[in-house]
Amino acid sequence: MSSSHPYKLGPSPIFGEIARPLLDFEIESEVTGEWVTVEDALADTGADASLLPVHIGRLVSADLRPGPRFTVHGVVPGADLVVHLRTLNFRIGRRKFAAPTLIADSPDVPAILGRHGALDRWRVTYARGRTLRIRK
Amino acid sequence: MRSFREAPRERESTLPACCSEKGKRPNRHLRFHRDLMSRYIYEIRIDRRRVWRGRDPTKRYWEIKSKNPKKKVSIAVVATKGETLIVIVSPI
Repeated sequence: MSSSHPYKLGPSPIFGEIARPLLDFEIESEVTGEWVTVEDALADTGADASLLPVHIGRLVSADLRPGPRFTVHGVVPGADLVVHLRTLNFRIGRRKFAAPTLIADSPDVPAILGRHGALDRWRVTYARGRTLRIRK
Repeated sequence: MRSFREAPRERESTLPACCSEKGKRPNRHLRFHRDLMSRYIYEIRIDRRRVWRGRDPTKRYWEIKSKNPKKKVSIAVVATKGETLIVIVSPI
């Protein structure tokens, strides 16, 4: 089973326009049991785990307060982010899997599909800045 | 003649929402400031067409989804300004 996700162009202050490996996935909501579709999430092999902003976190997780909290950071010095760890059910096309997911305390973060429990499951190819391919 | 006396006005905070304890008041300027400060905005899409754009999609998402049961309702996080994304998420 393989799927292809064409890169999508977006504005960049440095390069003017840049193509990014964005894909769509679905998450099963613990609140309603329905699947919430998240579009244009970044498939990021640099991210240890998947990350969701707080508002999408509230759609898929009943209560963020109980459960483990951690702090994560990126390449920006001094910018740390409080996150809640949850294990959520994901769906990408016909692939269904559970992955540990970090739900940020802030709305100012992008939706990211990271390695642990997600991208690490498959052979993922970033083909010449045009297509993201996911294979078993 | 009846005289009207104005009720004392609440003193408006001059601090932007992100810096003020009283920033919860629905004030256009504060909302503008908050949107200016935020790097991401949320979009709700039906069959990939944007139907809503704003800061907090939690309530609207379920409303729109229940009104469109047969359509694909999705949510996206979009950068408000063009940006160069360098994202590494790793626990400290």
